[in-house]
Amino acid sequence: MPVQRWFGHVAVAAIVVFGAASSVTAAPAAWPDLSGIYWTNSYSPKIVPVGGGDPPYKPAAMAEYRKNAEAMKTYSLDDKARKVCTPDGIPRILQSPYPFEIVQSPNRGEVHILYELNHVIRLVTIDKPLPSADELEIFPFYSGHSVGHFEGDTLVIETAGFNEKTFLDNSGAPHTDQLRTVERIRKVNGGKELEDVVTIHDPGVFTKDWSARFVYQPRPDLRMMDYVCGEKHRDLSPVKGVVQRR
Amino acid sequence: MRMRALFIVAVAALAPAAAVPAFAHHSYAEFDTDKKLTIAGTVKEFQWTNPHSWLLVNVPDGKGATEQWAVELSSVSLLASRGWRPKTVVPGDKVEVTFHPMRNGMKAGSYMAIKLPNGKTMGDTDRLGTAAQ
Repeated sequence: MPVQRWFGHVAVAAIVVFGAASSVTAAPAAWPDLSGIYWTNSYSPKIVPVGGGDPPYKPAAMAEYRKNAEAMKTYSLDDKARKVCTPDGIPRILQSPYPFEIVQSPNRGEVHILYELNHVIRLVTIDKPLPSADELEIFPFYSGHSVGHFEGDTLVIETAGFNEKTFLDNSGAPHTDQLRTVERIRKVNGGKELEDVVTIHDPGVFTKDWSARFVYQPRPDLRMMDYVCGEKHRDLSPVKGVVQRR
Repeated sequence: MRMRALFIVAVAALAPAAAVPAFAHHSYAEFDTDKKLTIAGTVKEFQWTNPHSWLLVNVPDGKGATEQWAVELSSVSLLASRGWRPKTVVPGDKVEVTFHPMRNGMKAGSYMAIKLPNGKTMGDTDRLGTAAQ
């Protein structure tokens, strides 16, 4: 089959040539594809550390947490994220029972995470250092300032520079502006799930760092919807653990 | 010029209707830059925010109660360039604040200087006749 053999040689040559060309144009290194819409199928108002129990609060912070948790139950806590729709911050946004979307822009060196809840947008700058300590202190954000990098199939996001206007979860867990988080996001279970393991560092309230794990399912069938707090919204009955107020 | 003057008058006229410190962006004409006032009290809240930061101070009224004063400061970037940080003052701090008072008598003003609990003074208590920074 001389014709087929000849065609095969051309194909190999073409691959070599185009392969070389692409390296010359310095295309960005391929990122693992984590893009898409995800939705969790389970929810808990309290973020429970990996291994169970309570986060390792210092005594004063534990007392504050108990007070907040009681106030949260009676809707008397000054929870601006639910009263005036400010961003949830991290890790609270990670427990959201609403969908979110990961958008990867390799040419811009950016990953955006878009949350349906309150239209929260997180910008993650890839392969760049965090802003200076001074800048993080002067410009604190609800969602902090995030930078990331890829380790194999895992997106690692480091976040610092949080303001103190948020809670760590939906049960009123307190934090300070010393909060820093590291998230490790990857596909697991043969691509059927997305995992985000977040490590929480805040010497202002905790005796040591601790981690929590969140799992989401890819939902290409969903479309992100408009949502602000206080309005009727998406049916959350598929999410186990959600109690919707009528 | 005439339009601009009218605009300033209109903004100044609207301001008293809004609760301090809700009027975030406004005319400087509301403040009497030829005057200064100093209050001593306890910090209730420090709002580190753009376009203008605000310091709320509870001041004893001499009758056993306190009254709240609201002092407006500049933008975050400008404050930061002058050495301020989000926690330069925190609730509970005893401070002395000097400011240009409002012309309409509201318990509010434009920041000139502050004496912190550690005795350090920031700002300028002598800058009259011009907008304070």
